[in-house]
Formats: sequence, structure tokens, C-alpha cells
Amino acid sequence: MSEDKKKLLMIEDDSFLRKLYRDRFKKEGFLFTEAISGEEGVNKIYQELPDVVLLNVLLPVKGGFELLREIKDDSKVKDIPVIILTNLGQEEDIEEGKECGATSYLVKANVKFSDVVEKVKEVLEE
Amino acid sequence: MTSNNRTPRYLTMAVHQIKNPIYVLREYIETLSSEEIGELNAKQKEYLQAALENIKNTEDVINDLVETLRMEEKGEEFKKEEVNLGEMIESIVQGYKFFAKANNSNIVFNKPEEKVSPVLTDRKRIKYVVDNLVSNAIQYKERGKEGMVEVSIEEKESEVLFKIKDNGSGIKEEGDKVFSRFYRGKKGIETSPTGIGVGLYISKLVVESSGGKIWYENNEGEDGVTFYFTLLKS
Repeated sequence: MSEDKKKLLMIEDDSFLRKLYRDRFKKEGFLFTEAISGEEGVNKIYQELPDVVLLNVLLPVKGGFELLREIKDDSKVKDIPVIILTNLGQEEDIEEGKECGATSYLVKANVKFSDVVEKVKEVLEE
Repeated sequence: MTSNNRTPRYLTMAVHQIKNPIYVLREYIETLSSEEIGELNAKQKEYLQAALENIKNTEDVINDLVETLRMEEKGEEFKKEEVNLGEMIESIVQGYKFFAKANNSNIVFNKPEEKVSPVLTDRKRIKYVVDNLVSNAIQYKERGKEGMVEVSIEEKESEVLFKIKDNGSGIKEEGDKVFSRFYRGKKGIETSPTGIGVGLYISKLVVESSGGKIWYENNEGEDGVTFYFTLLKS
């Protein structure tokens, strides 16, 4: 049964947000896996090959944009869709995210959990 | 703006970091309010609603602060676009009709008969300015009195003049204090206790970055104040 489930990797340093998203994505039928820093995130991407990544930008050790550039340079993982979920909402941040290869860019202040789920599902269907 | 007046990048980043716990808080409360993890009684719902409204106020304050820091940090990257001020005002005023009514106030835009030339400014930021002036004019009315707000624009030789007149209690502060960063007048504190006093400060930065001027005059022989700004024609 779990084979039908899509695997989502959330790279986010806020433990409270991870907990809430873990509970809710599991309820939505996802396999939820998580990383708390950019460095751990890269390792998990290679180890677990998730179907989709939810990525914060301001992260310890390695930032989200740096991580994104790194994985988009490697054919093994470059096709994994990455959705940025961040507080950085200025035009230049969004442009940088897109340039780095993000599939989509969500600004935390403008979205609810239901919007995030909807975007994840949309990206997985593409 | 001089370079030593600019906001350090770490401060901007710190403000962004403050937004995160607030977002998390909102997500938790919205999850509880949605009742997906258990039913709530009426009192619990009411309390959560109050918590959400306060979170919204806090987010507004932070967004104002972010806009201020951004203006100070990137003042020199100000866009100069052709903007049809009349169309923008019409749409903003229309959007405020409901809010005005809820505040026992009326708002009208005295649209000029002749088409007014476009101005050169940063579209997004001048929208913030007009929005802020309209919102202030509606909110800072005298308690118990029906508010009246009139917005107009006028074409001058090389510029366009914007005017917004209200019938509130006017401005008691001296000089340009109201345009200072983080300045909160007594009326402002009473009317909007969660504001941080940057709306007019940002407005001044925006208008002056476009080569215009902004000022106010208490209305002669009647209640209220009129705010003006000018912008250069394109």
C-alpha cells in the first residue's frame, strides 16, 4: 500500500512547522520525511529520492537556494520537483528561486496549509 | 537617501525570521479552528478567532516594517514607470467603499472630466501610498460623526497633484512630525493601537524618490485635514 503513496521531503528548520506538516501530510496520505538543514536535506534527497521536496530558503549550514543549485546540477536528482516555502517574498527572491530551478514558489504569509497541499498535488500531476 | 542611512541586511533578515513563528502560530490556530482534529464549542471558536485576528494585526505590523526596511535598503532601485493615477485611485477608492461604510464614513473620487496625463513613479509603491492615505482618512475620523473623504487629482504644468480631504479632527502635531519614522500621534494610537507609525514615513520616501512632494494642511474654517502629493508627468 505504501508503494502508492508519494514521498514528500520537507527541508525546514522550524520544528513546530515540521510537526504540523508531518501530521497533516500523513493524514493526506503522503509518506513524510524531513530534514532540518540544507546539508541534511541534500543527503536525504540522494538517499530517499523523494517524489517532491518542500524547501525553506533560510536554513542552517546550507541555504535553500544553494541546495537547489547543487541538485539541479546533478542528473540523478535534477528532475525531482522542488517547491520553495519561505518567508522571503520580494520579487528578487522569487526570481532567484526560479533561476535556481524551483518548480514553484510559495510565500508563507500568503498561503494556508490547504494551498500547499494543492500545489504539491498539482506539481506531482505534472 | 544617503548610504549611511541604509538598513543593514541582517536587520531585514531578522524581520523575515520573526515572520516564521507567526506563520507557524497561524497555521496551528487555523488547524484547530478548522475542527479537523476535534470539535470546538462556541467559546473556544470565539477565542481562536480573536487569536487569529491578533495574528493578522501582527503580520500587518511586520509587513509595514519590512516595507520600511526595504525602502531604506533599496531606495536607489526605485522603478520609474508610467502610471495612470486616475485609474489606480478609482480602483482603490472602490475597494474601500465597504470599509468606509462599516466605519460610518463615505468616500468619493471626484474624477476629472478630462483625462489626466500619466505620472512617472513606482507603480507598486505609489499604490501603497494612495492606499495608506485613503485608509488613514477613513479611520482617523471623529468619533460619533459621519466621516466624509474626498479624493481628487488635478493636472498641473509639469506634474499631477493628488488631494485627499477628510472631515476628521485634523492634525495637532507640529510641522512634519507625522512623516517621521515610527511616529505615533495620540489619535493614531487611539484609532489603530497596533500600528507602528511608518505609513506616512514610507509615503514620503516613495513620493520623494519619484521626484515629488508630499504635505498636509488642516482645512481652513472647517474640520479635517487635506493631504497632498505631487508626481512628475511622464
